[in-house]
Order: sequence, then C-alpha cells, then structure tokens
Amino acid sequence: MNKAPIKLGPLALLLTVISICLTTLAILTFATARADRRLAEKYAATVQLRYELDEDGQKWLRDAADDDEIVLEKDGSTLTIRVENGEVTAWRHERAWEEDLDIDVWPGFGF
Amino acid sequence: MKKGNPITAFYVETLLLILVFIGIILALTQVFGLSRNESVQAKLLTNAVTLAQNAADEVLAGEAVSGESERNFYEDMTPCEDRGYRLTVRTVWREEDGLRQGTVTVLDSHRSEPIYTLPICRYVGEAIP
Repeated sequence: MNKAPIKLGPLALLLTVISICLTTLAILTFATARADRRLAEKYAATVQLRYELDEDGQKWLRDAADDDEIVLEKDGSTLTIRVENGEVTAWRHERAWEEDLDIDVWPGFGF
Repeated sequence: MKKGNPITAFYVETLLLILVFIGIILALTQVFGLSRNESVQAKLLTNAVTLAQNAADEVLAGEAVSGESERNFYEDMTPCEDRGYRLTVRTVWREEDGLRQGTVTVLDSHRSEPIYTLPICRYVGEAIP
C-alpha cells in the first residue's frame, strides 16, 4: 500500500514569502516604535535636568553678590551664571558633546 | 496495490499551511500591537513634557504668589473642559524666602502614577532681572 507523499507546492512557497515579508515589517515597526519611545524618554530627562539646574541657579541667585559667577554641573550638563553690577549677564546651559569622527561626512563645497 | 488519494494529500497540505500561516499572523498581530503601544507612550510622554513646560512658564511669568491649578487635555494637547481627557496637568506653587517654587505634575488618566514631573523655581526677591 503506497501513500501519496505530501509535497510543498507553490502555495507553500507563496505563504512562506508572505510570512517573511510580514515578519520583517513587524520587526522594523517594533524597532522604530521602540526608538521613538527611547528618544521621548531622553528628551523628557533632558528637560527635567535643565529645570533642575535652573532651580539650583535661581537659589544661588538669591544669595549672590552684585558681581559673582558660578558654574553649576549636574549629570554632564552645566549652567553658567554671571552677575555683573546686580544684573544677570549670562545664563547659559551647555552639555559636553564629542564629535563622532568614525563616519567620513562630506564637508561641502569649498573644503 | 492501493495508491494514496492525491486530493486528500493536497487538502492536508493546504490545511497545514493555512494553520501555520494563521499562527504566524496571530504572532505578528501581537508584535504590531506592542509597536502601537510603544508609539502611543512616546507621543504621550512628549506631549506631557510640552504641557509641563507650558504650565511652568505660565506660573513663573504670572503674578500669582501661590496657588494650585489643574487642567485637562486630550491626547493631542487640546484643552478639555469635559470628560474624555487623557492628560491632567497639576501645578502647585508658593513663594517663600524670595523664591517662587513649585512642581508641575502630568498624569495619565489610564495610569495611577504621574508620567512626568517638573520642578519650577524663580528668584522673585530683589530686582535682579
């Protein structure tokens, strides 16, 4: 007694291709959404850090002399405050940034 | 000598393929659902940060010495006067020792914990601009 073998035909091939395409789409969608969320969290943390530095700066300002200067630092960000003749002449937020030289970026015409 | 029925084999093959395909589709649907959830959370957090900054700037630039305020917004940051809001911005501030200090808290109606808080502080003592 012989049994007809079960073979994979064109239908299987089609469904396999469709499955691969859908899986790739799903992975890319999830990766993009995850990256969006990480970026949003990074933005929220940056704003919160900035306001915390501002809070420290305002407290320092209350007790500052007419000519004074301070650099406040927190988690890699700095706030420079300068008071001259009783007026705030500088209130600068900065963050250390290192240029990534791994990629050879085109500098533009004229360079 | 009997031969297997080729039509039966075809049906079995097709049924197996369809079942496997349905299983894959169900799994991928879960992944798409997770992606949407991540995207919604990112949008809510970004909007919460913007609303918190707006509330903070409003308090620091305002005339009120102390107070509390609570405002509701839809998901797209449109103010909401009735039900159906998603975000609530709660601001509490007071003046003490020459400083106007407070906190802005943004709450999500679908969660019990705040999704974002922002400290606010401004020196209002002497006339230093």
